[in-house]
Amino acid sequence: MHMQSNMEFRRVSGGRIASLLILSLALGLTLSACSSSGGGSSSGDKQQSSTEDTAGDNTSGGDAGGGTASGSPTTAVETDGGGGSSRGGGGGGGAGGGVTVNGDTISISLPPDRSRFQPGPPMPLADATPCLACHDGGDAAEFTASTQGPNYEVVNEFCRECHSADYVSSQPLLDSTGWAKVVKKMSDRFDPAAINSYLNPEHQKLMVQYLTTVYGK
Amino acid sequence: MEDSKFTRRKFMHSAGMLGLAGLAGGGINKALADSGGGAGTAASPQTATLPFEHGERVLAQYPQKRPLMILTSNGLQLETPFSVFDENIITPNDAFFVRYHNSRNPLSINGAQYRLSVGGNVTTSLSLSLADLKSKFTPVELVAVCACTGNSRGFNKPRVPGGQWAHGAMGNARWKGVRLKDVLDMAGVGNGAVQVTFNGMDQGAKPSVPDFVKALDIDFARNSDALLAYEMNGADLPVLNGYPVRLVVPGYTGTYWVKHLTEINVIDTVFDGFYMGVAYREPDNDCACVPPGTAPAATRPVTKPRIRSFITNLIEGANVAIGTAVTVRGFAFDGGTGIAKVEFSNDGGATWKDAVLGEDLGKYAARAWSTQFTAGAAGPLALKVKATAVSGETQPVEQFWQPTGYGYNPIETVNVTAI
Repeated sequence: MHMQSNMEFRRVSGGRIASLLILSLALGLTLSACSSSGGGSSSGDKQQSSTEDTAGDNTSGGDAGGGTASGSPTTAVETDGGGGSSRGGGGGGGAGGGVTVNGDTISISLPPDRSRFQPGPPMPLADATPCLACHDGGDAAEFTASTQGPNYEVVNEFCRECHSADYVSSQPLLDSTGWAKVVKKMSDRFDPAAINSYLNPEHQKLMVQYLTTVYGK
Repeated sequence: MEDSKFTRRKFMHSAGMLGLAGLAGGGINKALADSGGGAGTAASPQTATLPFEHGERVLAQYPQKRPLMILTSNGLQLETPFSVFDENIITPNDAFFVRYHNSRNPLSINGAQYRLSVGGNVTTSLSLSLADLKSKFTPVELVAVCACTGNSRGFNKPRVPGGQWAHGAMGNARWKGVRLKDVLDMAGVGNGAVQVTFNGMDQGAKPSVPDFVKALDIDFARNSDALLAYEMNGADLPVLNGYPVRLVVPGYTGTYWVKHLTEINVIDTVFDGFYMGVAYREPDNDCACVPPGTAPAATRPVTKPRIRSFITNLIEGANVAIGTAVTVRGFAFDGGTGIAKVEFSNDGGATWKDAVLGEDLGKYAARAWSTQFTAGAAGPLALKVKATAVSGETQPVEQFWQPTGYGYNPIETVNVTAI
């Protein structure tokens, strides 16, 4: 990989990783299992720019914790990506927004990812999927207490580590077999080592259950 | 389209219709249609609804772009509103679709520090700056369609998972750059070379996510019209379309057109990375298809797009006036042999007549076409367009189905009503 030293990349935000940490603690996952996701911790010497929009997430308080947990040496620079109010004056329809040129360097800032997973339906406690990752004392209430519905957190954190929620919401309605194929592909092809940790078969089952319920047929 | 007979306003006035620009195949959003691709009111986000399940899209303005439809926000994918294709046979840079596979696309690029490495099985490894590319090789310009392999995937029946594009993951641009073969010749391809791989600056969210790397067979790479392009329609490439240099592979689908190209590697084996060995493959049989819902016995990498043709100025549900000559127009392209014929039908395909072809911008380019028809009586009309390539390839009535949703190219139909 031939790389420019001053290049900036999009990355999963610290907030998202922090959220994963919070979830992991709620599930009773060990910190090492969380870190093994590698979220941002191996990004080498590249400067990184976060375009994450944390408004609307309830996890924005955990940035520092996220950075610590991931051991990331990188600097997450909050950039208002030209979305929202900063775009308000651009009624001319031109292509000027979000671009700066400094000498030989052209930089762009992207609008924040505003896509979110839909909350799952309410589910009686008795029907909730057991907290399968809760090896040391957690219980199913950690899931069912969520206002987002069972298994929402698992999908929200694990899928959005690599891509936005609209990758899911734009798909046709798949049945459980279809979603199971998708989840297996994401695991086998994009993070095979995680089959022993946070993408273990039981977690995959939770994700398929959520996806089939909310985006399935 | 420069020619006045193709101008949109004239047609709209003569036909006495309103709101003709819009999305293909129905699902018209009035605000979008009226905006003609420009910015609308800034207060609320514009939306569009593509004519398939989960086809709701937000239009958003990204850097160097006019408002485009967001397919996905991270692992960025932006679709061109179909109305753009009626504006000009050349797709403007600010309307050209965007497709990244991974979430870490470059946001800040120093053109002076840019280097393209050429290595592997070569006599002399190279490290070329942008200035080197522009000064040490003969520049070449050509017009070519870049069409995403999965363009129109959302229309497959049955639906398949993947990027749910309507018809807007394609564009026709004038590319300027240097020939891939000239660069390979400067490096000197060694004996036993089998393929050439291409890597760009974008990366996955974490190390386990496969890098986006594509490969071309060495004979193709050394004999094709592939370019290392640094200009698009007379300007620097937009960042989101691959600044400062992208691979342009005329006649091949967009997956090969690696953006932010930094690394060319000549190898002695068939590259089996994810985006060649697993993804972007089609059934390895004559039709590159299987019965819907079934899996292929063997697969091969997708290379050429199938022939397509579109009506661009009349949209699903439009009204046309009885007894008045109505101009209908659009464009066609194929996988690099050129368009020989475009036929139009205003009776659902019962009868066809040849359309008039527009300027020939080269065998890799989109070819404009136009014709006229007069509706004799009130009622519904199924307008159809069918293209035939110089190679003889033409469009099927029914789709060729693939489990991956590639290669969608049946004859398009626009249903209108004569009143």
